[in-house]
Amino acid sequence: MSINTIVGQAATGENFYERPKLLNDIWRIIESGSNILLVAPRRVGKTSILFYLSDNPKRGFRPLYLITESVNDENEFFRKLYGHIFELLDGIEKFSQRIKNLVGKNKISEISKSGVKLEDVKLDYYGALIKLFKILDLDGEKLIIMIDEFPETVENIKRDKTETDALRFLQKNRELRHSAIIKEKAQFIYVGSIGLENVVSKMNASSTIDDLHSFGVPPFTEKESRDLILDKILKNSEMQIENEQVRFLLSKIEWLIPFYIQLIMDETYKLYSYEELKKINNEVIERAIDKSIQHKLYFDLWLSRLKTTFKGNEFSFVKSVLNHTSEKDTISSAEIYNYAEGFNITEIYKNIINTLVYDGYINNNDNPKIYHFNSPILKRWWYKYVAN
Amino acid sequence: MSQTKSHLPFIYNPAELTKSELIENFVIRNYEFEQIFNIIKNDDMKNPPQHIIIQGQRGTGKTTLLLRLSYAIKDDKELNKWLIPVVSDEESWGISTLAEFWKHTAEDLEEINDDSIGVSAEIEQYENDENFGEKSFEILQNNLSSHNKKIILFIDNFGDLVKKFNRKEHQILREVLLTSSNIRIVAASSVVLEFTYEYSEPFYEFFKVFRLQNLKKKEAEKLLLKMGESYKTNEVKEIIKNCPQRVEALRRITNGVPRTIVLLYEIFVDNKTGNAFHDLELTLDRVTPLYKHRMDDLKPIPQKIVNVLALNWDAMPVKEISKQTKISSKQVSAQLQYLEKNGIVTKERTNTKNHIYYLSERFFNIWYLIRRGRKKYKNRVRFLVEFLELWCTPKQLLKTVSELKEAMHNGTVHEKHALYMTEALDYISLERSEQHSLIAGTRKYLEFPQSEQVNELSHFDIEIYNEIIKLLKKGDEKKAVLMVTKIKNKIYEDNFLIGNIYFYGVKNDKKAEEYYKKAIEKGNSGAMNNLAMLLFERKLRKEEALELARKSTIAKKYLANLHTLLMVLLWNDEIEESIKIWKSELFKEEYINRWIKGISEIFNFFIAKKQYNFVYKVFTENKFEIKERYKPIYFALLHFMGGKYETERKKMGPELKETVDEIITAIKQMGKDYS
Repeated sequence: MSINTIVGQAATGENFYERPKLLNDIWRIIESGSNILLVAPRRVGKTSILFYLSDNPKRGFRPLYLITESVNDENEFFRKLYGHIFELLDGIEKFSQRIKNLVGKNKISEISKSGVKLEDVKLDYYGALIKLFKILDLDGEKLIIMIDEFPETVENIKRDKTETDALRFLQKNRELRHSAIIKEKAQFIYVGSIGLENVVSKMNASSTIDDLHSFGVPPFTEKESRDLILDKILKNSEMQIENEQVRFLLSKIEWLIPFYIQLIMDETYKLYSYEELKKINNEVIERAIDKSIQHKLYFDLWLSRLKTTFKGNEFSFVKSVLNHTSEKDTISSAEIYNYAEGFNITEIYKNIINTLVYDGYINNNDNPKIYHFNSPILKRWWYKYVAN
Repeated sequence: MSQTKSHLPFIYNPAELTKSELIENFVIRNYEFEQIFNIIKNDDMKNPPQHIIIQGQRGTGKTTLLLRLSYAIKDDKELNKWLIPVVSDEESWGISTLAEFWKHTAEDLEEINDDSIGVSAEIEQYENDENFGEKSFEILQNNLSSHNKKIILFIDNFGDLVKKFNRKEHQILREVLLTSSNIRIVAASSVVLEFTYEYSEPFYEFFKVFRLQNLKKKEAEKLLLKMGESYKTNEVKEIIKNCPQRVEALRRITNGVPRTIVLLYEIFVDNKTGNAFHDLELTLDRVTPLYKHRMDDLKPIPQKIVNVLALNWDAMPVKEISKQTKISSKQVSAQLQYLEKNGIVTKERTNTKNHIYYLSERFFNIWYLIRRGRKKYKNRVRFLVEFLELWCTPKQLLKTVSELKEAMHNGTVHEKHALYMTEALDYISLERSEQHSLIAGTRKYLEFPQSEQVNELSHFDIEIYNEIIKLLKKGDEKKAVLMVTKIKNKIYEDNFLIGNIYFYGVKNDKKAEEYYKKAIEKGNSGAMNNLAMLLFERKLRKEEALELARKSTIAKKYLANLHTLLMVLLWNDEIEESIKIWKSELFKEEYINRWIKGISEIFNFFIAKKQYNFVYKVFTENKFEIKERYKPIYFALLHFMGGKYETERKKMGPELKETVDEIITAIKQMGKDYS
């Protein structure tokens, strides 16, 4: 039997690797009544955590997951939220009278998950949402509203409407969180593959999210990674790997996120199958790593994401910093400043570096003045395909 | 498959095969099929499933794999209870929005699932709705959920389809794929996919990617043999056995693309005694309608660029393209981006800011060179095919061919007889089935004026030689020697003849040496040469080998002993003298053109002895089109030179990689063996 890997899609059910301490910490914060901002770069497993919480709620809580990546309008966001909460109602007929009360004198042409369709008039879904919460009966449970790609939504509004609209949107959400009616029945978890803190900081709107409890999702530990490989990925597989090779593999990955672990295991299995190998040794793992960085589809987005976020000198600055780091292994804050000077962006370069840190490119965890790539795999890819 | 010949539509449209035909002929891509089918089979889709992309260039079998998977699901009694495979039209006619895509999917579903009848009509009602995209998916999903069904969408040319969607539609589709447990997508795309987007591409990050690599030797043979079964012929089996180099040369030059190999199949079968280049020419006619159409579809400026790239064959930087087309660099760059997006051109990154470009589909390039280029362009292909054919010839055949060639170039009256004798010896050592191929190959090479030799190939006394070898193998030397004395028309001295029989026929070096030495005592230069060659091949007593080789050429000069002398000089690190021999005796047009094996060996040895600059000069002077004829060796040289030659090396087309890698390995081994 082959190996069991999930690449890219959120891990659910048996494929999800439980991290009890992490999950307990999240529940502890939820139980304290706080709203959470889940913070981590892409591919670390944030969505998988949300799915897990959704499938395994604690007593007294009812999780509700929604993704708002495509939303680029405030009313649309609240319509989507409204639609999801609407599903919690017990039967449309029972509550149709109450719905009619919600929409006032306006004529309803349709009610469904997509929302309430009125004739001639656009419904204000923020208002409708508040009213909906008033009539919502959750049998004493509290709703945990998990909004995936919320920062992307903010960026969409900023791009497709105006920055003022985006600011208004953030303020509205803050209002929502603080509304007495909502607070009683719901809490929020916000998640995104881009850093909300960076997004709002650029807009000078940090106050709109200062009520959120920021919770960082760390990469896997070595033990967790080993368990993931041996107990999940290789479960029932004819391919087996010795502990020594697992250690070697993990030492090469360094930044232990499930995505890289699974990607390299996939390539290892491919070599194992194609070449009919009897044993997996370090050389095979090295080759698997080389093969995995050839997957442009998986890695190109690291570059393309930067191209979208940064333009002109900002992009040139980012590319120079990362090229330097991929070649020399590290870059100092002095060297970074030097590049910033060269590209005339000394005013904003720190924000840019924060974005790179949040989005998982580099970190300065060992020494605040020295940065290096989070992932040697990403570094290898960057050096081969971008810097050269 | 029908018993008639395959035709273009089938090759380019596997959907025209019946289910049983497709399954019956599905012999490659088994790994990918099993992996993907396991993913599907082991997931009940209670949660959002893993989506899959199958990537590969044109002709690598993506569509066939999609169809094979869809049939497997239909045939699986457990899966087909709840999972419905929907295969979308390859060309996605008329779809330009996400909503239209869902509607199209609903229509496809209605055709195969009665429970879904009416879904597309329901969707149509919301056509003017602001949230049509969302609504259409909601209707589809509700229909599936209400009947406890899920669908697996097999979408070909996925990149082309999603290219038409706007940013928001991408984001919506991503949301759906992340959260819906009713739909799994298994998509196929050419490598164009990676260059499709101008904006953020989180869309593809959660697909599991299966890349279809080009076929290696074993897989190509498997495919051809399967086709042979279908046609109920043994021809291909015979060709693979007797002239594996023909198949292998073509596999390499066409970069192992399955579609091309299928095209070549019928040529093989119809031309049992052909050569690889001729095979290629015959195949091209069959693809001309398609490729001509492809060229005609391009506007004038991209056409010009494609023309230049095709004629150059190796990758080119923008500057060079601009120079040859007389189009500005800026415009060339813009057009290259367009051509890249459409899968016509591939970019190869270099160590500088200036990347290089080549035509993605190598067979298309070959077609262009042969059909559209002048003779000199056609020759580029011919030279390379000949090189590959020789490079890929198995050792036992190789010796025969090289010996025949060598014999041809003897400038003495004995040339004719040497030919017969050498041929006889090697002929005997081959199995009957290989003899046929030997004669065929020999005929081809005997293009000299003395063509009467061709007619005399069969006219020698095989039986006597057979008998001699049998006796020697038994150890009955006396009787064997006696028989040798009775051979008519022999021109070589008996000891030399026996030495050769021991060396080539019986493969007893000790005995061969013994008789060679006897012949040498009588001043036989052939024996001196052959003994030197024996020592060289066995890596023994290099000084003695050098002495023998020198003596041989002093007595009489001919191609074989000049070759031996040069190799042995290099072995002894007598570089200057070896270069002298090269320049004065061997660097001749007829040798460069006809004696590919010998010249290749010489180049390889010079490189193994680190004489990079000398060899580089020979190639860059390009006398007798040497660079085109020995192109794989040129690129192997650049590998060893490294540094600033790296960019030049990257100009190598992907079809050469396997061969160049082998040459590099061979050179490294030579360097070790003859250090």
